[in-house]
Amino acid sequence: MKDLERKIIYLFVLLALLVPLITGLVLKPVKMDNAGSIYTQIEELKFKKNEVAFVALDFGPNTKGENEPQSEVFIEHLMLNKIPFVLFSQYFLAEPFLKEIPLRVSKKIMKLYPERKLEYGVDWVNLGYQPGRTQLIQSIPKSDDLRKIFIKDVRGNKLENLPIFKNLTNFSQIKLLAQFTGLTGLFDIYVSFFKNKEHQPLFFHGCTSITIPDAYIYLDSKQINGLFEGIAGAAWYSELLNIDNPGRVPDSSHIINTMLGVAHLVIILLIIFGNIFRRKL
Amino acid sequence: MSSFKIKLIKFFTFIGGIYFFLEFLLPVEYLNTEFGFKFDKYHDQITDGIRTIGSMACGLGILNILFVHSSKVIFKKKNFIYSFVLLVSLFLMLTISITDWVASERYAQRIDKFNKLISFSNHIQKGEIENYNQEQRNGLLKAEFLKELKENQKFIISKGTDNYFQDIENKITLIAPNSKDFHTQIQKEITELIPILRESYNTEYETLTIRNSYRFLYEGLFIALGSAMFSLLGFYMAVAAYRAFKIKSFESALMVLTAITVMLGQISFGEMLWGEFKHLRIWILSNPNSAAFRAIVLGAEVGALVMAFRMWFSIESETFGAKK
Amino acid sequence: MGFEHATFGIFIFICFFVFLILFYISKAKKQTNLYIRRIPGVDAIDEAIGRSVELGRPVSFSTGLTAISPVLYAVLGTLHYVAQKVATYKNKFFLPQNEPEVMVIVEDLVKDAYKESGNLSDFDSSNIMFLSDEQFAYAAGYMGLCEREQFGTCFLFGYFAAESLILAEAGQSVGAMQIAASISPEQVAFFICTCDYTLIGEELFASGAYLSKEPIQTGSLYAQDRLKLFFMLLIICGVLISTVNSVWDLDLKNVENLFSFELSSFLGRESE
Repeated sequence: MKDLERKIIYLFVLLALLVPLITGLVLKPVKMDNAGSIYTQIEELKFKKNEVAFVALDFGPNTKGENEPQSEVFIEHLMLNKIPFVLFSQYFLAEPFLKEIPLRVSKKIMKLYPERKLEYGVDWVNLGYQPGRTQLIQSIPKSDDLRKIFIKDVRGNKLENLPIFKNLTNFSQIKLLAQFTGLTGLFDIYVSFFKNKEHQPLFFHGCTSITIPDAYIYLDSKQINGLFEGIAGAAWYSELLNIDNPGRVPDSSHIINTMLGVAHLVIILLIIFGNIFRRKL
Repeated sequence: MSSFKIKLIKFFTFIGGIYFFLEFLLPVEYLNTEFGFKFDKYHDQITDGIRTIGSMACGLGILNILFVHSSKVIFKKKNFIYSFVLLVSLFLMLTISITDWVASERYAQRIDKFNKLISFSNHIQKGEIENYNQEQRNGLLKAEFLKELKENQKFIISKGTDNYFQDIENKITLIAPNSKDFHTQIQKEITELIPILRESYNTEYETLTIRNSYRFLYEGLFIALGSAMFSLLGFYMAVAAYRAFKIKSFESALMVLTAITVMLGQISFGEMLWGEFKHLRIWILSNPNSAAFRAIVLGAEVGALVMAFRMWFSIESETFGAKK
Repeated sequence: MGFEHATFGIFIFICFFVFLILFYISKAKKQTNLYIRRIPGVDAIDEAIGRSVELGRPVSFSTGLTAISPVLYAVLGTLHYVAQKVATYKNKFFLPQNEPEVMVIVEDLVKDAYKESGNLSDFDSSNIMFLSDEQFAYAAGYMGLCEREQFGTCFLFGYFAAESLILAEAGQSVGAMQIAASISPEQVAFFICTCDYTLIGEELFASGAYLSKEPIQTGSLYAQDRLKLFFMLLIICGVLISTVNSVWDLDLKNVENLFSFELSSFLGRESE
């Protein structure tokens, strides 16, 4: 392929991505049923006392474009619904996200609802990067006391001193697991091992667009209970949050989704143009 | 390689695999309950051992980089300047990361001193300290606490009011070593102080030059470069689609049509054009796509299963392995 | 009672598949002309290496992000063949590496291949270089290497993640002939768009057997295929059972129990 042709295509794609950013064009996202189903399930879930959600942010800066908005909107929904959650990651590059995302979201919610108070240790706990992969995930359902596996949080606080973990011992108290990842090879481990005979938490998965076809296999066989399909899923979820929380400051998912939409359109036009142009030659 | 060495390697390979195989297969809990045989007693140590061996490989990689690129620089081979930049970056990142880690450990050790005081207090209460009498032991503990308090004065003042440090100091000074609830009071003060100190340390740590340097290299360069490299995929995908999606036959036309349908089903423009694209997209992903993916994954995993068995039993071909 | 991953059904299955592997390996040793269907990508390996030699450009073989695993084992079979060919033609051979442990194994294998072809003096260990264990740092290193050395042929065999398209495009941009093999279906789609030949899924495992025709590799390939046939039959049975169950509302739970039969209940103990 000629160099010039290649460079022209790069230019088109760059312009396609820049135009929404510069003009501020934001389009309403497509209704994503799978993301909508996660929203409905969270709304209808009844968390008993001492029950928590586990949220695994297994992504790095490579896939933050899609995974970060997904985790942000999901964590926001958990905080709005007063569902305590535990953050951790099996991917070492996720550390900055584990720290920043809940802080950013909690500040946003406290600004929107000044009467709400969100506190570390009460509403969420960050366990940080947890090495171990398969071994760790296998040991969680088998453990007698979850605090003995993780011991301390990322700030060095002993878990039994934190309100969330005060009475959190059993695997059956983990009501749901949400994992956001992009090709780090960790998804299958949770599907296989994050359950035991007595209890299987709800499993929501947030993936990049590349791995949507792969994730559909598990959705179809009900091994996962909900799916964020790339940035489109995050944008629709954000739209649902906007509907239920008037005055909410929009996050980045809408603009990224619009940019992606324009880029998709350009690629479709390139494919059509490529076929017509080559035929004529 | 002598046949004895080969047999030894095969033996250890088999032993290495048999533990995990049995751990998967045997009813471990049942054996523990009925026969008192805890099969996975050393599970943590074994898996830690495997991780330790794997982490030694990190040194291999660094050595290789040093050999390859040092020789390029020393003998001024073609494009040696890039090797020079790589080596400088390697040493810079290593130095800054290690120094940053040492700095954070220093703060962690400061906090640890207070945890040790709590531990000391518990030991005194259990009567595990043999030297001195009770009052002397309590006095020692109090003196140590006051000493640590004084050493960390600036961190305590920075978090609370100016009087806060004075208040704690006075409170501790007034606790009599022979009082009944001496240990309860001391432990309470230490437990309340630790989070305040931790936050103070963290604030100071975040302002250190070494921390800022690390953040510049890691978040400013490494993470940004990683994101930039990943973003190349978007451009490459456009080029690949333009080049590869040629309608030359029925199958290729079907492929292009499917790709366009799936793309339109996910974007707002698709919904504007025709509302049914999203349903078509879901049907395509749930049916033909899932079938194809399952078939490929099944085949690949069966192949991996057979290969894993061959690895475990050292059933090696003559291509690599024992030469007859 | 804790959760047991393996059930009695799985234990029976393991015995069955071990028997299959050993049976077909011994059959392959007795019968040396077992048929393996043609794999175009593997047939093209000789052509690709020949093309590089004619152009006077080096050959590269990338194992991607493959760690020490069954996938690596499968890749090594093809690597040995390629290394022998390259050594015979006395062409330059680059092997950029992502994993240090894999690098050691690859170096040893390639050296053996050069020795077998009688050209050990041409072996240059500095061409087997560790780039980075970070995915995109590796991709950046590979891109640079590709541009500087102007590879004539690129082999991309193993486990790849998001960097697959970057590696393949780098080869495309220098006009290299590319043959790729990956077990990951997502990456196969990228390779098909950018490479001349792509081996899909288990063809990666078959490539070693196809090239060497060795009894152990051929036998295990046959065992693989019979195992897949067994799974296909299981799927068909499962579909028939569920269809019959739902249409005629029969209670076929006993069949389900056969496959989830647990070792503890086999030993006469009820699981909690």
